[in-house]
Order: sequence, then C-alpha cells, then structure tokens
Amino acid sequence: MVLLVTSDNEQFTTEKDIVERSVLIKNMLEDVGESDQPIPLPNVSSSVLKKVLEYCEHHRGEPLPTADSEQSQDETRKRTTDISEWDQKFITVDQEMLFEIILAANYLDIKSLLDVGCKTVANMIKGKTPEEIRKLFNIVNDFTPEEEAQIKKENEWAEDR
Amino acid sequence: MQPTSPVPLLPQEIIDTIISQLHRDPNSLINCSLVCRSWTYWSQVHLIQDVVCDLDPFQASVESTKIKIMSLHSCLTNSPQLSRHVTSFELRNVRSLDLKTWDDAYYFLADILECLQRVKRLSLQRVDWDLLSAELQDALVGMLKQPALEILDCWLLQVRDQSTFVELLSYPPNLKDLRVTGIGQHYGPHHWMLPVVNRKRQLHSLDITPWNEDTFFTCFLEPQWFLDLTSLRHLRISNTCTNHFALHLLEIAAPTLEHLDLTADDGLFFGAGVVVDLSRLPLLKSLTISAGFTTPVFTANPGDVKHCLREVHVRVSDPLSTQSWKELDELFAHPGLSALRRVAFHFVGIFMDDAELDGFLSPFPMKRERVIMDERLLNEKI
Repeated sequence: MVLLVTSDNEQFTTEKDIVERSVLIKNMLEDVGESDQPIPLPNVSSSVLKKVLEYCEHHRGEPLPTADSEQSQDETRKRTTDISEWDQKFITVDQEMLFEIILAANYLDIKSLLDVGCKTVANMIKGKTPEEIRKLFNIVNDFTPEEEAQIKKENEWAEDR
Repeated sequence: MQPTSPVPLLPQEIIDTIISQLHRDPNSLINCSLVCRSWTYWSQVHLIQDVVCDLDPFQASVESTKIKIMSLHSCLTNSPQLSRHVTSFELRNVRSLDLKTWDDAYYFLADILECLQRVKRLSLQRVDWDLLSAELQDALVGMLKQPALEILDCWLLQVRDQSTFVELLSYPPNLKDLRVTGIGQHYGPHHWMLPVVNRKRQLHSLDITPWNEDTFFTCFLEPQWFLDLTSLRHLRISNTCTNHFALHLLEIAAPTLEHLDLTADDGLFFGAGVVVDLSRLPLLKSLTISAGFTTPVFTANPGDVKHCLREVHVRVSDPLSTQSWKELDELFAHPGLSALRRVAFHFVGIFMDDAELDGFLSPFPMKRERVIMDERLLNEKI
C-alpha cells in the first residue's frame, strides 16, 4: 500500500499498481524502496487526487505506454480527438476541475490522462471564434491590429472556399 | 497572456499539446492562431505542416483552387519562416488533359515546391506524371532529391512506362518508407534499366497494393535493385493478384519484420494464397491476414521457440469462407505463441447480430482478448 498526502493535507491510501500509472510516483517509489513514508503531492488537492485515483483504478492493469509504442501513439494522437465512452463520462466535469485534472496529470506524469484532458479541451475549442476561445481560457488579446491582419493574410490559403 | 478569473492557467506546453490535437482541423487552427501571440506559433505550425494541393474540379472550382495555390505561394514567399514547418506535401488529381487551364497554377506550384526544403513525406495521388509541366516535374524531382525526404506515397500514379517509375524511386537519397497503391502506365511492354545510385536505400517500411500490376513490381526482386529490403520492419502487400510476388518479398524481409500485413479482397487473387510460417519471422509483433488468402502456420516444435507475436488481425469477408477457424484456433493456442494477447476480427461488408458474433467467436480461446473491429481501422498502421 502507498500513502499519498495532498496539498490540503489529506491522506489517501492506495495500492501500488494503481498509483504506478503516474511515472512521477513510480520513480519516487523506486527511489525510496520499501518504506511506509508518505509521499507528499504539494501540487495536487484532495478533490483532484480523488478523481485522478478514480481514473488510475479504472485503467488498472492496462499496459503503460512504452518508448517503443510512443511514436505510433503520437501519430494516432494527431489523427483523432476521439475519447472512449468511460473516459468521456469521467472527464465530464466543470471547467475548473478539468484544468486542475490536466495540471495534475502533467505534474504526476500520467500520459493517458493528460491526453484525455487535452482532447477534451481541444473538442471544446472546435467551432469557437478567437474571442470565444479567449473567454474560455481567460486570455487577453495582445495583438496589434497590424499583427492580426498579417496572421489573417498568412492563413488565407487554408481557409475554406 | 493575463488571466481575468481564478480558472487555472494552463502552461504553454499544455496549450501546445491541446493545439496539436486540432492537427486535422484547419478552421480551428486558424481561430487558435488569432487568440494571442503565444498561441500563434504552434497553431500556424500545425496548420502548415501538411500541405495538400488538390486539383480535382469536383472538390472545388478551378478558380478557387487557383486562388488557394496563389495564397499559399504568397504566404510562403512573404513569410519564408513558415516554409520550414511544411513536413508533408500532397499533390492530388493532376489528370486533366486541359493543360491550359492549369498553366499558371503549375507555375506557382513549382515555385511553392522550391520553397519547401524540409518535406519528409511526399504524396502523389492520382497524378499523371506526363501531364505535369516540365518546370513542375523538375520541382518535384528537386523535392525527391532532398535529404529530408523519407516517405514517398504514390496512389494511382500514372507514368509513361516502368522506367519513369524506377527513375523516380531512385532519387530520394534517404527513403525509408515507400507506399505504392496501384500504378498505371501509358506504354508497354515493361522495360526498365537500373539507374546508377551511389548507395542502396535501406527501407524500413514497404506498402504495396499492386492490384493487377504485379509484374510491374518485379523490379523489386532484381538482385541489383537499389532499395535494400533486408532491414524492413513493416511490410504490407495488399491485393497482390498472384502469390509469387508476396512470397518473394516475404523471403527477403523475413528476418527483420515486426509488422506484416498480407491481405487480399475476394476475387482479386488467384492460386493458392500465401502460407506464412511464423517460425521464420522471429521478430514479428503483429500480423494482419485475409481469411482464405493468408494461412499462418507455426512449424517450430512446442517448447523450442517462444515467439514474440502479440497481435493478429483477421480480415473476414465471409465468416463461412474457406479459412478453417478450427485450425486457426489451434494455431493461436500453440505454446510457442503464448505472447499473443489480441486477436481482432475485421468484418468487411458483413453484418452479424450479437448472437451470431458470439457464435463466431466461441471457438477461440477465452484467455486472450478477442475483439470485433471496424474495417476502416485495418487501414491504419498497426
């Protein structure tokens, strides 16, 4: 069993083969060896870790991506924004939680979860105008009118006709 | 980029990953490039990575296609920094006999090709080589000769004769991956001479769908052939009309193959099909076969060899076809194939209800994952 401590000081006890989907935790466990010492996760809150562990538990036993499979997976990732049914249901959360899950997956180095999160956000972007995307991500438009016109000109060839 | 509310701010590397998911969605990428300065770079990189020039008048009007080509020309000449991000170029549907219509477009296309120095993949789809203008032919040959070019994809390429095709294949100095689906020639008979090349090109992946033109590809079996097939990791031969060609290539590539795909549609092959002895393919990880055409066997004695085969994909066009499912089941249960984890059946043009599917799958051992997959997935590289 592994003991994890979140940023809000909550403790989670979980099984090693569940939590080893995280490359960060897997490496930490290898470094400390057999030990009862809790693993601190200062960048992950309890509500987010609960969701992350739910994901890891569901995908328990599935092969972890290897260096060998990474290249072809990269190609596949490029091709599709499809998400499996369970993952889709799992990731149907409010936007704040979705972004927190993505940040946690990135920090904990869980490639497949990061992938699901990024695909979900990519699907949210589809069909939105630049202004709507800015609103979604809380971004301020920092282009000068000349810069904006230049980019529009550069993109002209790719526009639907 | 300033946040205006407490929603977490995603770091740039994650934003870049999100943008990369929109790779095949130009409209979304155009919108992303106009969000803010830090979003522009990756959005434009993904937008311009794969350039497709389709001259099919049924896809878009001639005028709009010309405008598109001229806009791309203007983009690459005015913003040359973008040209280095183009890694794939596809030219489609150059078959029209109305050369005058496309005269100016050919001029701009040739100029565009000369701007592109880092193309890794060139695809010629439904292109009639002899209908291209001399300057466009030269520009394409220039691209073929670039050291960056590793993948050549010819889909229904029409050439004057076999020697033109052989010559085109001889240009890329670092060709790794060759895909040829169908080929047409204006003049027979087959005649070609081996071009002089300074060294053989070591292919890693070969994908050929000859249809009725097996003899066209006999050049691949020539001992002095400049494409070295002894290091192939991926071999796909689809719809070969005889089995000799497939057997010859298999013989050459067997020791290094990791992925083998030997399939044929019903009625498109003659003779006995192809017998694949897995014990002669020691590195094979995945195998795709057509029921009735490809017969896998494993001649090693139990206990002699532990094969590394992990996946088998079976293309089924008739569940009651000549393939003996019992024999296949026995083969998969061979102790030497204990690494086999997945047997996927791809039904082509067949509909079965759940009970029929259960009945079909029942003879196969439960210890392995058995899946029914959509036929379209078969065309994806495994």
